[in-house]
Amino acid sequence: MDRHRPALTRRWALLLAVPPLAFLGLFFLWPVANILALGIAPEGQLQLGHVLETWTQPFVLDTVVFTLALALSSTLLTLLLGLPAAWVFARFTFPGKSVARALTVVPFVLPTVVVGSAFLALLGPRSPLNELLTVLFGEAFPQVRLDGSVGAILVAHVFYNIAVIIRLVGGMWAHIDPRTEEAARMLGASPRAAFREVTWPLLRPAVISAASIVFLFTVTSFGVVLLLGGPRDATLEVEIYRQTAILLDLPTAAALTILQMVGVAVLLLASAHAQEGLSVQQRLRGSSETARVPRRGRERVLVGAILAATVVFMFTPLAVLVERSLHAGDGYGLAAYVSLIEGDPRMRLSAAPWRSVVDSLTFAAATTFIAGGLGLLAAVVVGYRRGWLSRGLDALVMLPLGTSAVIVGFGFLVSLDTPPLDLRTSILLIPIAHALIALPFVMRSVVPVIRSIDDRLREAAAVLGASPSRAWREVDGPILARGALVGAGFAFAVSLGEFGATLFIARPDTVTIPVAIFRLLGQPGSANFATAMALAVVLMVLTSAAVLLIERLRGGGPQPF
Amino acid sequence: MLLTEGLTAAYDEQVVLHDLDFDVSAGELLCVLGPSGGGKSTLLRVIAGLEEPRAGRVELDGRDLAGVPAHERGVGLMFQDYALFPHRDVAQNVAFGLRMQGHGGADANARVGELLDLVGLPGAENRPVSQLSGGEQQRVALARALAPRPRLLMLDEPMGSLDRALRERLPEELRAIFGELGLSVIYVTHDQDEALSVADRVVVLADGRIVADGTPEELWSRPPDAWTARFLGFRNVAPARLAAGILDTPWGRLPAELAGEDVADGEVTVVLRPAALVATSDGPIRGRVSARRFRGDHVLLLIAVGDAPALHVEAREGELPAVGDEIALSLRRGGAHIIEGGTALESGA
Repeated sequence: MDRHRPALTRRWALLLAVPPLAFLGLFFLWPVANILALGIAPEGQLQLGHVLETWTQPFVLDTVVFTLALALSSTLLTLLLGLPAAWVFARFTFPGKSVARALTVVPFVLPTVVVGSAFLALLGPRSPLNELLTVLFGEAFPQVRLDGSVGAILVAHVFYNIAVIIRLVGGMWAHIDPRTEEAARMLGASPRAAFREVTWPLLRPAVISAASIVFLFTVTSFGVVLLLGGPRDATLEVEIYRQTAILLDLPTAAALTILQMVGVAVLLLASAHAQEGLSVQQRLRGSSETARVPRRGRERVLVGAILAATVVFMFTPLAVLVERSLHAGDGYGLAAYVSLIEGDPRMRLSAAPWRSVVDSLTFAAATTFIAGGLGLLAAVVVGYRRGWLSRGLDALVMLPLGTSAVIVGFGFLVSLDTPPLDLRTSILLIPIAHALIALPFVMRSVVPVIRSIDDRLREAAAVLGASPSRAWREVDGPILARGALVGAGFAFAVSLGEFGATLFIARPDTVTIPVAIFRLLGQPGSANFATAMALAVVLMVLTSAAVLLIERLRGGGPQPF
Repeated sequence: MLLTEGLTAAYDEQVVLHDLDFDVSAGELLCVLGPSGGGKSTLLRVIAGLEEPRAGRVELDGRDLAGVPAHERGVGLMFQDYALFPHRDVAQNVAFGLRMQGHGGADANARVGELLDLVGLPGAENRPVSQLSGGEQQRVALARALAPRPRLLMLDEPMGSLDRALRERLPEELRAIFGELGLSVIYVTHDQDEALSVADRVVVLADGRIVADGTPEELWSRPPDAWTARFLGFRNVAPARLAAGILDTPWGRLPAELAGEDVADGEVTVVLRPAALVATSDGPIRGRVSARRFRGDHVLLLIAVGDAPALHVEAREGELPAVGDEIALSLRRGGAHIIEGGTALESGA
């Protein structure tokens, strides 16, 4: 039915694809190729021996096992808690649903540093739980401490990624016709059997897709592990950071990078393959047709309990964050916020913390500009064209999402150091790195919108006397603009929260909010801790505002990814 | 075999079924006829156990179904757009209910083949459901609903999305199949032709209330009120006054003996059958032809009589008048139907 799709000619498609291709080639492929070269040929000569040697070292094996085990258990835990919430959001209507749905995304786009510090506040020595236990049972009572343990990482991972399950699985679930399940019930299937036999097979591709995204995010986890893990808990990502920034062992870091990239590529291919094999053609329903008010009795109790548990789990850490930021001495006050503005030499930041807010907003604006423009071009090519150019560009744009931020930062350091591309000290480096990570979000916000435009709208416009270009302007234009705005919002939020790559490439005097929080947390003293929390609250508010704006603009439209 | 008493159902505060009492006897094909939004689907869902009634009870073969979950009721339901399982082929769809009963293997396969023969799709076992036409999907849905041998089968708008030719042929086939199996059936539709041609008995449901209940012949010959008459497709329905053997209608005065009923004098509703109105030079109804519509075996004339609503006349023989011609009409014996009581023409949905 592509007859009426406006013909984006091959020539135009190639032309439009040039800027995003050039950007990705220069700032992704080239740095990555350099990393590969560094690992395989440290002194200009092929030394596969060193790579293999690195891979077979016991500590690497331990790290790989730890990374995989952590990602796998994080994914399973996230599914365990996320699936019931996805069910509730997909199948039921309740007051405040749209706001609650929007808010579940907030943790997902919050920077790892904020999530990390929220859990530090919640699970650490002075957490409200421990304060309560002390009040009840006295000082001698043993404290509940999860910080510095794998448990803390797991909890933070679930918190961070539960939105992916609610969004992707819940989104699919809402579109599955509930009558197929009812039909099974009428044929003698118990509720459990009806789920197992009908809903689960239809839902499975979405579950696999969401689970592989969670696995991807947790297998490349960096900030959470660095902040919450014990000194010996290291994922590959953290190990790459350690080898590069602390041990200055570039060949080993490069060998680990190759290992990680190969693993991620295999994972992406496997999950794409699994989804293809399992996906089922079905008539999808509008989500408003499939959701209903919970019926009386047990169902209401169950839905209420799941909702309450989800809300408590997702918002307690954020509330604790706010509470910690208000600690001043022995009581409460705004001291931490005051010191954000006034600064303090003990913070060992180059400027007062509020400067980082200005810097972050500037970088976010620049990122939005770069990623918005390039992402829109890429989306037009991918959305309107079929074939190798479309598929290839799509895969290339997505690849940075599957490549760790530290690797991108690392790649910048080793490859952008010779004129005319000596950008190491350039202020542009940060928005460029952020744009790489934001591009997939922008493109994936716009492509589904383009593909969902009903050809008959253009036909109607044509029949009403609009020329093809006029029809495009009148029909596609406004719809595209909305998609682009949503994408731009994502770019803004991604840039505000980006931590790994920024930590790698930020000069001592340019500090984004997440980097400032990280540095503050590294300093001793409760005042610094409170200031870090205050800065995290500022970041949380900024990010939430961006997310809520995205939600409003998107309305009921298609989801990214 | 099925009995409802005081059945009331509501979504939020909106009541969709008001205090329904009705029954289906064994082997009967009961049509529930009514306009969209009249509560028909809700009635089926309540009987099926997919919705809880707010009040009242449902009894099947003498057993109160309150608290019996949907999968244990032994009731079959064919959904409006069939709700076939998209991830299973035809045979797996049909065998689903058998599998839920614990039957598998060769017996189940044989039964699937039997059912596909019965619904006229022999050999379709391995076809994916996504490649079936609308009519084929309907047949698979029927075979699937029949497979576990339900005591009562309910069909929700089974002809809903089918084309005209199928809609005319399939009701006959369905009747034959149900008759062969001796099934009790509740058949929901909004199409009066379909209901009248397929049912043993018709219940008309409007705004969640039963407004008429009878065999197709009874309803057709004696619609119980003006709304039902109009819903069944009668055109010439109007308030009238009956006094001393004379029926005073908006179109003219007619002798009351032309109607079959024996009705007391007073305000009544009159229904004139279009086929019973014939042109005669001395007829009591005088008007002017305002439109002519060719209908194949007859020509439909719309006659303007003063301020009265246009009178529909089916002309079959003789010379046809042209638009604008003056015409006089008389009514054949039995061509009028008088309903007691004044007309609230806009009542119902």
